[in-house]
Amino acid sequence: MIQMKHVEKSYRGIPVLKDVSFSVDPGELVFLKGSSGSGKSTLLKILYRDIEDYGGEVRLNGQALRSLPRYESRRITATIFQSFELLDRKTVYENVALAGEVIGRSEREIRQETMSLLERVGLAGKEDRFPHELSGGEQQRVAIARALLNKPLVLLADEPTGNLDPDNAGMILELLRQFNETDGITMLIVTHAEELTRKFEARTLYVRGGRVEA
Amino acid sequence: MKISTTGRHLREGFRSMVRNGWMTFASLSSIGISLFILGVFVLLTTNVNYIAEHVESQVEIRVYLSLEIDEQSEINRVQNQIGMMPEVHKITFIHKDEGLKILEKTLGEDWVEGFQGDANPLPHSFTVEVKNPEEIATVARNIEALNDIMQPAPIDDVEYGEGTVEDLFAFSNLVNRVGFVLVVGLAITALFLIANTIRLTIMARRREIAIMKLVGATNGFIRWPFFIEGACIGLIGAAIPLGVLLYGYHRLIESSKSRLSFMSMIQLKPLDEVAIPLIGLLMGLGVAIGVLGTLMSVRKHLKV
Repeated sequence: MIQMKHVEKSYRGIPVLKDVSFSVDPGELVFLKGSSGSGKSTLLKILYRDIEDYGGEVRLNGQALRSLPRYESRRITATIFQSFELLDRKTVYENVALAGEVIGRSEREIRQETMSLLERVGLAGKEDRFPHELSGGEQQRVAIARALLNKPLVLLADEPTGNLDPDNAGMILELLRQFNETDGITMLIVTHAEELTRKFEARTLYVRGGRVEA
Repeated sequence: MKISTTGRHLREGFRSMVRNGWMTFASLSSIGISLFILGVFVLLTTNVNYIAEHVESQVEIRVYLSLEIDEQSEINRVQNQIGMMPEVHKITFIHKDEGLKILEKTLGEDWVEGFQGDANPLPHSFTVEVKNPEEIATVARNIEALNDIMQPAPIDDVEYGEGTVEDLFAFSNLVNRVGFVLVVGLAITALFLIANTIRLTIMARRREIAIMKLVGATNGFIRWPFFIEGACIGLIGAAIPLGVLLYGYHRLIESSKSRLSFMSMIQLKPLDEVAIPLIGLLMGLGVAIGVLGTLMSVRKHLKV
C-alpha cells in the first residue's frame, strides 16, 4: 500500500532523511518510532503531501504519489495529529461532517455515516458539543471519526497520543487497532509510547540517523 | 462547482459577509458610491444625447430671399433648385406677409405697426427640412452656393441652429470624460477594498482552509466561497444605487409631466428605455469589480 524507495530530504542542506526505503502492506498496522528530530514527522509529511520537494520515489496504492493530484492522495490517506486539529467554532458533528462536505457527498449520506462513526468512537450523544467541551481523548476521537468518514485506504497518525494521559492514550491506540482490524485500513502510526505499543502485535520501524530500520 | 456543494458555498459566502461586518460595509459603500456616480453620469449623458438628437431632428433651415426676388417665377426657380437637392426632405414657402404675421405673433402688434402691405420690409423665405439632421450644415452651404449659379443672386441669408447641437454634443462628451475619470478612480478604490475584505476572510478562515485541504478539498472548492462573497458584495453594492437612481429618475420624469415645474421644459428619455441598459451596466460592473477584487486577494493570499 505504501512504498518508499531511496527517499531523501534535506532542510537547508542538512539531511533529515537519507536513502529511506520501506513498504507497508495493505491492511497492515505499523508503528514508526524514533527520537525527537529523527525525521518521523518529515516522513509522514511526505506521505500526506505537506512536503513535495524530496528525492526518491513514493508509491501509494500502486501509484506514484507525485502523479496524483494532492486532493486525490489526501482522500486515499487520512491524517490525525497530536494537536487534534479541530475547528473550535464547529460542533463535533460539523467537524466530522466537514470531511464529507469537501468532497461533495450528499447531506443524507454524510449524516448517516457521521452518526455511525461517532457511535463507533464512543461519542454518541455528544455530536452537538464543541471541542472545548470535550476531554483530550474525546477530541482525538472526533479527529479519528473525521479522518475515517471518507473511507480512506490509509490512516497516518502523527503522535496521536502525545497530548493524552496513559489511560486515554491506550484507549485511542486500541480504537485505532479496532478500525485496522474491522475495516482493513492500513495504518502508519508515529508514536513515542513504547509501553503502550508493546501489547500490539504490529511491526515497528525505527527512524535513526535519517534512516529507517526494522 | 458541483450542484451538491453550491448550497454550502453560498452559505459560506454569505456567512463571511456577515462575519466581516464593517469591511463588508466599507466595500459595499465604496462600490455603491462608485456605481451611483457612474449611474448619474450615464443618465446625464444619455439624456443630453437624447435632447441633442431631439433638438437636431427639429432643426430647420430658414432661407431668406433677396428683396429683389418678388416674381413668382423667380421664387419657383429657387424653390425647385432647393427641392432638387437629394438631402432635402421638405421645402415650404413663406410669403413675406405671412412672415410678418409670425413676427406679430412673436413680438406683438406694436412692433409691426405700419409695416403692413407694401411697407413690409421682410423678404420672402423658405423653411427647409432635411432628411438627415447631420447633413444640415452641408445643405445650408449648398443653398448659399445657389448665389454663384443663379443671376441675380437670389439668397440673402441662410440660417439654422448652427452651434446649438454641436454645443450639446460637446457638453455630452465633457460629461462622459469627467464621469469616466471619476468612475475609474472610484472603481479602483472599491476593487482594493473588496480585495482587503476577502483577505480578512482568508486570514480568519486560514485554519479551516488548511483542514479542508487536509481532508481532500480541491482548490476550486476552497476558492468558490470567496468568489461568491466578492460577487455578492458587488451585486448588492450595485443594487442599492440602482434602486436609488431608478426611483429618482422616475420621480424626475413624473415632475417633468407637471406643467408648473421647471422640468417640464426638458423632455427626458423614458424610464423603460433607460432602466434595462442601466441595470445591466451597473450589475455587470458591480459583479466584475467584486470578482476581480476577490481574484487579486485569492491569488496573493490563498496558496492552495
